Parts: sequence; C-alpha cells; structure tokens
Amino acid sequence: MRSGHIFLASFAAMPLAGWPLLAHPAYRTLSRISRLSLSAAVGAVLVSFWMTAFALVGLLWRIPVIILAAAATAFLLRFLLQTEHVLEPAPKLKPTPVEILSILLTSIAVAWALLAAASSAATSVDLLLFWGPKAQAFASARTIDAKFLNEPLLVYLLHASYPPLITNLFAFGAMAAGRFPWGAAALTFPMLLAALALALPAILGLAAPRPIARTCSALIVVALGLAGSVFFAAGNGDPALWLFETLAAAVLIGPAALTRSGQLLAGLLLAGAAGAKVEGLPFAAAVAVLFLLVRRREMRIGPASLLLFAPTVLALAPWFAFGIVRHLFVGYGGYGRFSEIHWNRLGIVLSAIGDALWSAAFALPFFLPLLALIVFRKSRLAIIPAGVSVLLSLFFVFTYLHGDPDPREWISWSAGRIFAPLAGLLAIGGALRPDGKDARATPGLLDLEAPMDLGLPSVPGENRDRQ
Amino acid sequence: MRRRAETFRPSFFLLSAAILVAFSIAWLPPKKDLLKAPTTPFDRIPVPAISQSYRLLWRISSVLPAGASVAIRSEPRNPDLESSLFQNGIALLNGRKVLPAALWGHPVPEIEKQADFVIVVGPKPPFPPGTLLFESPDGSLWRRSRP
Repeated sequence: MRSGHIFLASFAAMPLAGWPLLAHPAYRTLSRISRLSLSAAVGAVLVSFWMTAFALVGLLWRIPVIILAAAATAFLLRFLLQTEHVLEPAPKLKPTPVEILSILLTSIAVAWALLAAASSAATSVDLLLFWGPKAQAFASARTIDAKFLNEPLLVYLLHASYPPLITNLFAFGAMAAGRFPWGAAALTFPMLLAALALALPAILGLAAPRPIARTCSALIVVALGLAGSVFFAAGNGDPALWLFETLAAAVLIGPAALTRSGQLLAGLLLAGAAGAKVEGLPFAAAVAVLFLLVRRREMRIGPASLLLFAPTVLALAPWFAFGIVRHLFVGYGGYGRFSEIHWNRLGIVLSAIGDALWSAAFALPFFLPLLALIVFRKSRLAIIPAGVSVLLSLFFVFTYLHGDPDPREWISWSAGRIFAPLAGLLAIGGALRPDGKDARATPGLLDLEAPMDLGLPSVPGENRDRQ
Repeated sequence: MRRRAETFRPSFFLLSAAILVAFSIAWLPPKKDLLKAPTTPFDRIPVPAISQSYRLLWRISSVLPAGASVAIRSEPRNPDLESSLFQNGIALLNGRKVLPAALWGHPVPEIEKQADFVIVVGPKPPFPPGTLLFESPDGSLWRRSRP
C-alpha cells in the first residue's frame, strides 16, 4: 500500500474517536451517515487537542494513545448530556425528484473537486510553503517541533503561531504513512467536501423543510467545491475551516441549538474552526455571540455560553501555552500594529477583493447565496449567518488595511479562500423556515400530507416567540 | 401562495447549484490533460517554477545524504526565485540542512557558501560549483569543491 493511501486511510480514525459522543441517543434525530461525518469532525478536534496537549507536556505522539485519549474524551463528554431527552430518529422518507437532483449535483461537485485535486489543478502553494513542512517536521519529531518552528531563517516563513489542528492532523497521517505524501495531502480537499456533503443535509433539515435543506446543502457544497478549485485550496487549511464553520452555523440556526447536545456539538465544531485557521477564531466568537444575543429568550444563557465557548478555549489553551513555554509566540502574529490602519488603501483593498471574488465564475458562488438570503429570508434567525458574514467581511477588510504597502497581490491569492465561507453562511440564512413554524413539526414541501410529528421533544422556550 | 413560494425556494437552490456545477466543469483543464497523471501535485497551478523545482528536489532527495547541508540556486541567478527555492527545499529535503542562496529577494552568499552541496535549478552553470553528482532536465546536484 502506498504512503498516500495510508495517509488518507488514517483519517478513518477520526470518526472512531468522535463516535462515542455522536452515538449518544441525543443525536439520533440525525441520520447515521450525518452522525458518522460529524463524529469525524469532532474526532479531529479531540485528536488535535490531545496532540497539542501531549506536545505541551513533552510526551511523544503515539497513534493508538492519541486515538484512545480522544475516544475516551468523547465518551466522557456524553455525561454532559445525561439529562437530555432521547430523540427518536427522523423517519426515513422516500427521496423526491428534487432531492435526487440535489444528491446528483452534490456528487458531481465532490467528484469534480476530486478530479481537480488529483490532477494537481487545485493545489495550494501554502501546502509546500508551511502546512506540509510543519506537518512533516512534527511527524518526524513525533511532537510539535519547537526547534524547527524557532529556526531563525524559517521563523517567519512557517507562521509558527498559526493554530495547530491542520498540521497536527497532517502529522498524524504522516506518522501513520511513514512520510508526508504531498499529493495525498491535496486530496483532503475533496475528502472534507464529501464530509460536508454527508453531514449538512440532516443538520439543515432540522431548521428547514427537507427539500430546501437538501437543495441548499447542494448549493453550499457546489459553491465551496468551485471556490476550493478556483482559489487553489487543496492541501491547505481552508477546506477544514469551511467544514467546521458551515456545520457549526447550521447547528446554531436550528432547534438543536437550544439543547445541550446541540450546543456541545456546535461548541466542538467552533473549536475545530478556531483550531484550523486564525480567522476561525473571529468566526467562532461572532457566531456564538450573535447566537446568544438573538436566541437569548429561548434558553439559559450561562450553560449555553459555557458549552459554546469552553471547547474553543480548551482547544487553544494548550497551543498558546506551548507557544509561551517554548518561547515561540504570545498570541497570533499580526500584520503590523493594530492601530496602524491604512484607510487610504480602502479603495484598493475593496477593488482587489472584488476582483478576487469575480474570478470565481463572476462571483456567482457568493452572489447566488446572497440572493437567496435577500429573497427568501423568512426568519429572524437569518440574522445570525447574515450578521456573521458582515462581521467577518469587516474583519477581513480591516486585516487587509494593515501590513503590506501594496496589498493587491496578497488579496489576489487569499481573498477568495477566506471569503468562501460566506457562501455557506448566506445560503443557510436563505434556507430557514418562517418564524413561528416549528422546525421539526413542519412537513417538507413535497410531503405536505406527511405526519407532522417527527417524534422530537419540545424544547424549553421554543414556543415563546409564537405566542 | 405559500406553497408556490416554497416550491420556488428549492428550485432556486437547485438551479443555482446547477449553474455552479457547470462553471466547475468548465473551469477544469481540458479532458486530454486531465487524463494524463501529473508528475507533481503542482503541475497545473499557474506557478510553473514550483513543479520544476518539485520534480528536481524530489529526485535529489533520494540521492542527497541525510544530514547534508545544501543550498539551492537558480541558473541564471534570480534572487526572487532562489528565495522560493529555499522554501521548497525546506519542504522537500526533509532531514537535510537547507541553506538559502537568497532571502526575501536578497542574495545571502555568506550563508550559501556554508553548504557542502549545491542544487542548481535550470541549465548547468557556466562555472561548475564542484563535482557533478546528479543531472536532469530540471537541474543538477553538485558537491562543492573546497579549497
């Protein structure tokens, strides 16, 4: 078996690590395939957490130990859900023609992403510049190699402070494979896109009628597949970030977000986003705060805040502790001083962002979801994904107003990728069912005569807005 | 009325997805190119220098002894390109001490000359830096001659 195959196959350990949590009855309302994909996402977060924690305390990485620690953590997290209602699985309904078409389009998008990545047409240069070298060095050292990160000639090139999830997972695969397989690393893009395609419809189906959830999921997967190819994201951290961000947002706009299980799941996905890339942290903060503000009357804020924020804090704490203890970094490296905002570059920045987005099918991956949000916005909850999109856009523009005197080149190769999650967020905002409609009791569009009760329990506070 | 609106929503999502799938298909390189396996994971990105250096460094990685110090330069000399080659060397020559011939577009000869081996990307240099150990159309590997 070639090392590339082993590298990719090693990621089968992620669902194993996350399954003890997702097997909890609280998640049984989601389809098995969705839970399997979610358990991979949760497992990846826990595996990365333990790899960072082991590196902090000086324990060398051993694959079985890491998997066992992650799976044990997932199992222990079940105790947080002990008082949860036990949800009945969603009934299996025959797919409608619209849903079959959605599945077809989604499959084509994933297949095309695979073709783009396998043919080397979508590979990110960043894979060769820092994601790959760091993962390779970490795998060789069987820990986060502080000496490598601190090499005077490399310290800036390697972006030592970048969060550790991607490099940890790549190092995990490289340890299993015996070396870092560069081509296989690029194939993580279609793999993550497939994971999103498997998990998203069921989660979105809690907040939107089934045909809308399926078709909206298809649009999101297709848009991110196109963005990943056009903006050369294969092999870098963006596809993982898109997975975590899209799934977290989909959980938080649905009824599951009012339950402990939903909040814990969203919290773990937000930790994944914050661990994947720097911009995952502002996303996590923005979406969690907006969620707590918009839905504050539907739940108890304290426990919800804890479940949403604690995983991110716990995931990043060992990383920042590692940076401080090994004299590598204190917090994230920036692009110049915070207060040095070059407002005179605003026109250049906006125009360069426009050019970058336009280069992907005339910005249609962004414009079509935006149109969906504007035309179909029926729920006040749409303010969560819409607000996050606005806040993230402002954050990106703010970042581009720093540093490089001429940011056009920087924007040309980065803006498309970092703005890509907006496609998913905007589309989600346009998929929500109208306020006052119980997300789980409203039948799907094409099954209006279907039984209304899907067997889900009532959630405290969820009826308040209808009164 | 609501039913009509609700019918339109999935149709809109579906049509949008179909449009983007069409763009995805159109974006990929021609079919005859796609069916040819790439020689490196960077063959079809718009930075051709990367695939050339990748091919060369990948082959040299099986020849160059572990722990050896090596600098990577271009022929003709180009400090911008050599800065990138240093980064590529860090990635692809794992286990060797890779030294830069240029950093941030500025030559650093005082660091480069510390290397025991020199990789030249491109044609053979007019003044050989040492003993030729390996050669391919993408470049060559030399053991530096010490006075």
